[in-house]
Amino acid sequence: MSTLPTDLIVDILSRFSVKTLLKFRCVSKSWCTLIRSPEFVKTHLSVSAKNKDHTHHRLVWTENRDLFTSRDIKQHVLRECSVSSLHNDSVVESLDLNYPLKNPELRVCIVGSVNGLICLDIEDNDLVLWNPTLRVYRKLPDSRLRVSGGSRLDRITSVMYGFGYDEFSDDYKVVGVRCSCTRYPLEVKIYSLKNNSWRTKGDILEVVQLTKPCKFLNGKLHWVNDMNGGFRNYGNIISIDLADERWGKVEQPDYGKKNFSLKLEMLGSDLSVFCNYKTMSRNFMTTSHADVWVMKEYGVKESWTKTYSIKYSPNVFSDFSPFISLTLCMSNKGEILLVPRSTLTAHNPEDEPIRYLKVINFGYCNAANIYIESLVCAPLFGTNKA
Amino acid sequence: MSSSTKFLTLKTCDDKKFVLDEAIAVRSQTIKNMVEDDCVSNVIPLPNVNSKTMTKVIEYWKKHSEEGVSKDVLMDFDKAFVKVHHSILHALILAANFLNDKEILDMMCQEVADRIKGKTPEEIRKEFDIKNDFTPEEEEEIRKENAWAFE
Repeated sequence: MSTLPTDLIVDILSRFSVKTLLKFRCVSKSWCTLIRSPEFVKTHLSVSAKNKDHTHHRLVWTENRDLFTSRDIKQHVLRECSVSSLHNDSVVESLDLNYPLKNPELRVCIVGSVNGLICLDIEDNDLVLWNPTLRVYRKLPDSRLRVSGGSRLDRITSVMYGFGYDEFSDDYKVVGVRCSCTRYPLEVKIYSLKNNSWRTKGDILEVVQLTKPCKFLNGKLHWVNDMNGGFRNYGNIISIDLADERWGKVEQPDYGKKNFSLKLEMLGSDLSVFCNYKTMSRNFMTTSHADVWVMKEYGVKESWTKTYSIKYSPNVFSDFSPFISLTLCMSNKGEILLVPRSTLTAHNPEDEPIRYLKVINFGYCNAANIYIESLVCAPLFGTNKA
Repeated sequence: MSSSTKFLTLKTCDDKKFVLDEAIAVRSQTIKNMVEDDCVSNVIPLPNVNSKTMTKVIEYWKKHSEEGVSKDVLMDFDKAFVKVHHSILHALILAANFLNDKEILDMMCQEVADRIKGKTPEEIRKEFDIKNDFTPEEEEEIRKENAWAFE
């Protein structure tokens, strides 16, 4: 084994989990140097990302008190479980994550995740970049993007963050947008991990109201730009390129019906839209069904494909509020995961009915994300251990 | 066998010759490139592969080229195929790498990975004859960096 060429050793070692590789650094100096090298970190990440069984993918979600919470949630927590386990096991273990600056009194949100790093927003105040697998993090300097008002509406609509990776400058960036509520001027700031500082961006798009979540792909951050809190008939998908910092628009498919709300998601490495159609019933606006559209080729309008269609039955899917519904990832069997707040489900278009997943200690879900276990830590070096 | 069947002669580093149907031999990307570039003379020398290893490789190629063989049969064959002493495993990886046969290479690398899985650094060194060139202090330092990984 010691006489195998390095590229074959890389081939073998890139199949292991981060935890195992941390142990393997003790085998010899050459193994240690190899496992620490940026090239290996990159190879390992891309092998893990392509793994069809999602062995190194983790689902992470927040359990927070919010406007729509009907249950009595005492604390704000972050939980995770294995994605391959969700696809394959009848009962799935979940873990309470020990995240940086953890305080059960403070609301925690996942801004985004890329290359195994997660950006957390704690109580709209502190931002941290964190590798949960390696247990290292860095607290970001204050963006000073804030609204002073204490009203609930201010807190929800004030500042939107997005987190992504700029391949050209090999830098991680956070974009903060303070949206144009009547009382506050629009402001955009960009944080660079390399410079560890925020910079105000001069040119501003005609942002009206960005809505969560922000999705990163193709070097760009994406939001739905919505005028009316998710109930408008039309929402733009806008983007900002992290390399040249230019704004752009993503062309959308013809969704067909009139009343719907859009939510951005990622299916694998493709941008997707969860489109909730609404109908009036007994004077209430309810969702009748939803379509999952996937843009198979980035930037090509014609490549938008309706991949899944989900019918809501009032009894079964009362938990699918028009505000929250998530498509997360597709297994090798073509199943997608959906998290309608208080349950986790897997949906296979060819195989009705929907499969309910048993996740131990799954309480509730405000928002969920997938991250890949990675060795990426160089950008966080010299910082804190969580 | 049809008259159009072409045969290639492969010569291993220990001077053994293997006559093989070209359609089977081109499972090796290296041989395929040679055939396509028309630089195949009478004999293809394989200076990096010995006859014992080549016999194994050809055994694999022939089984996987059989017509009408079921997936289950191939799975059982593969399972038995990888159960070899690690020196042969090692030789097969090097041969597959030289022959540029991604299928065998991937299967063998996965087998090595499966054998390492769950082993301690000491056991890995022993099994693969790797010298520990850390001083005890250096090793302790690395263990301390991520002590939780060793729990």
